[in-house]
Amino acid sequence: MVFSSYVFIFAFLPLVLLGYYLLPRFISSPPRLRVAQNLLLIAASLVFYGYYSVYYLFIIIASILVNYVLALGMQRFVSRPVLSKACFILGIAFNVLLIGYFKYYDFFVENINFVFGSSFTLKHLLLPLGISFFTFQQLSFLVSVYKGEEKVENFVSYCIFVLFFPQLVAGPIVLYSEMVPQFNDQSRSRFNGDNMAAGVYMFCIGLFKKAVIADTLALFVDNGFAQGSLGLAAAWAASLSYTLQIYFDFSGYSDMAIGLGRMFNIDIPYNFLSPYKSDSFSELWRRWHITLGRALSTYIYIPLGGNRKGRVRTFVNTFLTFFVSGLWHGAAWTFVLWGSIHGLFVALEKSFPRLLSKPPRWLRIACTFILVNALWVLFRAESFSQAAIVYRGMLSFGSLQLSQIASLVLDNSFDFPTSVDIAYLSSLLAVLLCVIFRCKNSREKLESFSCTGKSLAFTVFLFCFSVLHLSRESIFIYFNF
Amino acid sequence: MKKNLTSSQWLRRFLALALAVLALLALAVYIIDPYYNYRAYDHKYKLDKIFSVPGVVKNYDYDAIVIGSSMTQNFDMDAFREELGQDTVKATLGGITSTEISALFKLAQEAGHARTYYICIDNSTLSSGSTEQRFPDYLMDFSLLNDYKYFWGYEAWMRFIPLDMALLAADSLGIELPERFDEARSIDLMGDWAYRTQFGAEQVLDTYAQSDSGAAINVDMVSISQDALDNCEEFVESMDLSRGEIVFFFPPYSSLLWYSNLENGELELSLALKQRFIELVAGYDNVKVFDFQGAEFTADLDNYMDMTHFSPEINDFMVSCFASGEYLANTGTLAETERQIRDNIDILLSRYPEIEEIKK
Repeated sequence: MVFSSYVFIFAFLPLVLLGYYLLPRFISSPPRLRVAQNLLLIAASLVFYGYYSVYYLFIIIASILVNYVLALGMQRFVSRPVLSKACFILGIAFNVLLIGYFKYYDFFVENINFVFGSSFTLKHLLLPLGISFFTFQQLSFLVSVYKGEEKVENFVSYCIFVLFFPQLVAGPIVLYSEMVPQFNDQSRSRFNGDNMAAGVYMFCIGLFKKAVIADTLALFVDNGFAQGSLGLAAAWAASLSYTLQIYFDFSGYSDMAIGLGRMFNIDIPYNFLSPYKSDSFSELWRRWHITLGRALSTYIYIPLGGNRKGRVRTFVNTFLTFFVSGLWHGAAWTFVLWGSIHGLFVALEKSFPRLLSKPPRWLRIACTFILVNALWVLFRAESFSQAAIVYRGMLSFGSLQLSQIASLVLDNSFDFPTSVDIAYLSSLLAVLLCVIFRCKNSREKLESFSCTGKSLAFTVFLFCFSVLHLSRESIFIYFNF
Repeated sequence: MKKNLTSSQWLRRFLALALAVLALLALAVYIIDPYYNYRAYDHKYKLDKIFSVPGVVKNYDYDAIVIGSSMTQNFDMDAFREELGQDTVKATLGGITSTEISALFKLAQEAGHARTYYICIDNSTLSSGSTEQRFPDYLMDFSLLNDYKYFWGYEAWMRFIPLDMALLAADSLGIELPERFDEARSIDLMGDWAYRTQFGAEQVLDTYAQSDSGAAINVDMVSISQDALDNCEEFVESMDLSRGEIVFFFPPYSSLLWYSNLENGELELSLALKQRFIELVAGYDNVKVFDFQGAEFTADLDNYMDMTHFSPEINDFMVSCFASGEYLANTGTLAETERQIRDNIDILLSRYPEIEEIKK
């Protein structure tokens, strides 16, 4: 199920909230009430996850069962390190094989076929929604249990940690220690008006970002990347549109997740903090998909040695971490190259910190944004040749081809004059660029939220205007990862 | 700003206001009705085929309906009125699929306006078995339950209502708009593309030269044929042919298309499909089939825009045939039509000898 859909907003969410907050009327014992509420959330999350395909449910349930049993095994055999380690290795192997099979099988076979001229058949497997997220989350849990940092509690707690629908399919990637205590906290059982209002406010901001902004930009992006050749104007319009689309899409999803969490009195960590205001790639990755950065740092960068083994190893470790990040995002060389170049920039920044801090901050922000924008082309392109078309256009300074912008706006409903299309697209991009560079981010807005008439009118506007965009229902970009 | 509401007041007001705004928006769509979902008038709103055709089928006043692809979009509704005495409406969509034809036919039957149904059968439609359905589901029925997608629909609110309001405002202020805006609001002209199109042999040959249709295809025609025949049977079974007067017709593509089919080995399949279709509908007394594909004029490329699309004069001719019964087909006429198609190919090649050079 998608947050920005009629069925989620008008049926699923109201019913789950109603059930959740009606339970205290029927169960007086606080511990039992909390378990019942968690069971309700687990059931709702399974419906949410299996809405499009029951097939997905078998995979996620199998993944949860195997990981839970192995985590329990590690804890049981804590005094017998060999057995504990065996459980740990099995767990890692299981998760890597699971994601490897569903996400990377075809990629692997394609490369084998390419290198050796073989013709092994591709499976074209249907990628289970959010498999990268829930697998990563469970892997991190296994590592924590193995290190003795976490204790395995009951099965219900583990299920709600993995399945909680607001962050199930596209994060934020949460830690067991930051979520499960909240699910077991009896003081969070009752309806809290302040949390509910803040949650609704945050949800509506995210909904607007996704349904109105990101999905409008998607048209320009899809049209732009489908062109056989692009002039300067259209290429920059298409790449900027994607840079904005992916931000509003993913941060919109994260805002909705945080808002939904609040409605259930659960605090979900922030995932975005105005990333495009960053003046370096290092800062960008502290502001963009924050929980992924945290997980990669904890489970890859630091175990590799982090920055403790000299400048060269720091460079290599940083690069490797981003290489894995690229591969995590998608089973294609375009993603790997995208991640590697990000890694290269971050590693260079770490190697020459003084040199890069000399230019004024506004210039560093502008340069970072332009480079990030150029790299998103690789991320969006279905192939290197498609990326090359956009890059060629972005560098074709002698061929502005302003009128080609009309082809980006085309949606088959009506042919407006080219001048109208150009004015529409360029003014929209200009406004959105102002928003990302000048406006408060969602965290700042949530922290300054109060129940006033102004916030009420703003939220009603965001909600109703977003509802008018739901008929072009689309999935979130990060559902594919 | 200072906090001036309690959270419960804020939440209650949010719910009340949001519901009130959504109710007002729904009411506005019901009244404006940009897709004619509840009532259909002429010369009112900008028409988009995908969104307007279902409403027109359900609510317009007509007694005959033309369902089909771009082959039918240039039919002159006045010709139907004058030649056949039928108030006719077009329900067309470029590249219409068999699923869409069945759905429109069913919708028209449920609407109950039509006594006669003219249904264009493209040979490719029969064979493809495409299940694509581009008309929005909430417009393709008479139920109110799914109309929330219409009341709060992106297409209604972000696309057509602003445009409709601008057009109405322009009308009321006496602003003269370009002709294409008027054409875009005429139900008779819905989908018509002839007014912006050039016809002529030169451009037909150009499009043929640029197409890859002459390339020999290297596929298993036996299995394709079986799939196509299955699709054809499924298509016929999907329609209730027992009610109304139903006129199927095979449109007169240019002989260049038949030549191309002959060259790449698809001609036999096309003809076999047509034969199967005619056999399947032959048992219905209320069903007629017209087959224009052997017509002599198909060898004259000046009548065409490309290999398949013909000029509106040919549409007029087809209407006159519906009235006169010329080109009526049955299982017994197929052999003669095939002979005419092959003769026309010979005429075409003698008239345009460069055709055989183009694909060499």
